[in-house]
Amino acid sequence: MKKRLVLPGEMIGTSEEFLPGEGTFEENGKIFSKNVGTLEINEKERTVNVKTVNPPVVLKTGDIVVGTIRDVKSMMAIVDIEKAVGKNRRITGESTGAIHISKIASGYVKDVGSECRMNDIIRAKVIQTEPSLQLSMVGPEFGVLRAVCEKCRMPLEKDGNKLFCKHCERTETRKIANDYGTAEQKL
Amino acid sequence: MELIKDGKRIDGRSFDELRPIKIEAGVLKRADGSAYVEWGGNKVLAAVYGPREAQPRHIQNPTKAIVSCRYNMAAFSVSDRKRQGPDRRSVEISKIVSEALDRVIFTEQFPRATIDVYMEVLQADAGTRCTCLTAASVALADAGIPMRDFVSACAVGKVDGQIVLDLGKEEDNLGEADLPIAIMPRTGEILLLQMDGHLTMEEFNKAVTLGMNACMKIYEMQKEALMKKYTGD
Amino acid sequence: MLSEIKRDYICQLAAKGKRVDGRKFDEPREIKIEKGVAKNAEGSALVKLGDTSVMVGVKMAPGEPYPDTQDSGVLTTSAELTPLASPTFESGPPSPEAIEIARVVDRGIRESKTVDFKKLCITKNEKVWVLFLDIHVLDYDGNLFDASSIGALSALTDTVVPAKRFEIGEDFKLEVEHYPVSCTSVKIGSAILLDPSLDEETVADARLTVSIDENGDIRAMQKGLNGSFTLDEVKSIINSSKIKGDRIRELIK
Repeated sequence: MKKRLVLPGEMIGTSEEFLPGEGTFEENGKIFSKNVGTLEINEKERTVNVKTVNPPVVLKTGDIVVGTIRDVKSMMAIVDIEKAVGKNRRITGESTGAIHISKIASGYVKDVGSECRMNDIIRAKVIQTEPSLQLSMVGPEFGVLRAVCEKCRMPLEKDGNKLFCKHCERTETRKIANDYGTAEQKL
Repeated sequence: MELIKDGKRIDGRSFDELRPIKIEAGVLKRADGSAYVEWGGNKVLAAVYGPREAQPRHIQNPTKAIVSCRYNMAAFSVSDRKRQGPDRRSVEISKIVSEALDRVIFTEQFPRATIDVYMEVLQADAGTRCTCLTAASVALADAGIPMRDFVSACAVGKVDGQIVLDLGKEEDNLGEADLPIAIMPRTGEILLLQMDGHLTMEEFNKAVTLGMNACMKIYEMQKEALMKKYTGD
Repeated sequence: MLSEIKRDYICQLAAKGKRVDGRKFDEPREIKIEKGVAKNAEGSALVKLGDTSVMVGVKMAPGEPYPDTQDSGVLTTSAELTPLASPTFESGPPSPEAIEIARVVDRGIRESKTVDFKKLCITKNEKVWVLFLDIHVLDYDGNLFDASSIGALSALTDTVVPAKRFEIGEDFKLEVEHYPVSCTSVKIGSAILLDPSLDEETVADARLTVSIDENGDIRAMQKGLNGSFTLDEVKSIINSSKIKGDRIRELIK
């Protein structure tokens, strides 16, 4: 079936026929579209949905985000979320998330500061949106994408599972994402 | 100046005729949604940003999004250069346009956020607020903002004792009344209504009917513009 | 903050002689110029430089001359970075960025004698033409300096002095005597990129705008941002600005 484009306020069914789904609203027994989008009718469940063509980016569980560590506390790291991966549009609503110490890495983490530091750029997964935004860095693709040397502020390079500063010949530890230093295409 | 001659208006239109109108959706790269409208000699761009976190925090509404519009005229849009920055007229128009759009948006879906609508008048000819509102509504749809309906707007006026649709520049300056109106086309609810001048009760009734019918025509053009952008025909 | 990651990426590409959008280092984006777009203006132009879009309008009215130039017309340039053009632009009084753009464009026109302001004198010591040049940014995707100055020059070439409206004789076309074209380059790491896109501009270390006239002479320059150039780099930028500027000039005329 050819997908039909519908517009805001367009009537797409009646409450007798269908249950109003995502992107729709009901008024006086009639169902209307809320958005510019494609009409999807689920005959089995008798629902109508409208899939918006240009939806605002509202974070939901499972979304992958990139952000900056704003603060490191004893039990968690606070992240300013910059964007949702794969979305060009900026995110809507709450943009500050927390990573609990238990969600920093798969193993036991004694000290949050040894896995991520202020101003590190990280990739994480959304694991909860209500009542507060919670993120997780557990998993090889999650963790720090870019970090700078504590002393000279030059970018650190990956050296096995640690980070190394060429200038100061120092090593720092982080929970590193598996594509550290080459992550730009996956933003 | 004679504004009506042999049953025709100064620009040759009949009493119930709109000026030529062109609507285009999705014309800007950076904005989340946008629209360009040419309406007679008016040229207007509208852009939507958001929903985004309202700043500063104390203006946030914990139950719904704020719809914040800014109507602005480019310095070169009018024959006497307009100074940069908002004047009292722009502030008033921004306010009533915000209120009209607020009614159609499902603001409760985005608590603490703001939906910013920016309207720039690049060339002004009379009827800029209706042109802006029409453009803003298309830009909101283009930005994927959930809405109950479009907002379609048009002005009606009285010229040489006649009720005429969509006042042109001279008619606006020399006419006896001006009545911009905006509606939700699906339900006919009136979202914006202003009037200045002098109308009898009978003339008002005639004007409102004429205006609302014209809004329905605008509505069709708004839908066409979005269909064109998203389906290519 | 993501700009740090973008910066690394742009530098990595630049080391291989590449740019994110596939352009050569000295290749500007596509330029489109449409004149006469605002009929209430004395002259106007809409310029698109890639996805950057700027509208420039000229308004003119009789006014008083400056005390030190009693026989010359007056130029007033303003720029408005409308919040429509970028999520980072805010409404309110002109930002330092808007003022810098307006001043750079203003100097480019004034100092290069693009317009002979003596010809805009109506009555010496009393009445001269005031030329308002308003730059209205509509879509910001990098390099507002060039989009604005190309727009300003294009709008001037479109301008008819509205003498009749002010009952000072017949309308006449504004004479554009010189065509200085500005070209902006940025330095990222060791790479020099002409006509920076928004991402390139965001991560750039230093910026240099060079305005060159039809004789190949330099008419204005502006260095920006907190990085630096070597003299050799400056000379090389001037050289490529001249070559690219010649092509842009043809589009404006």
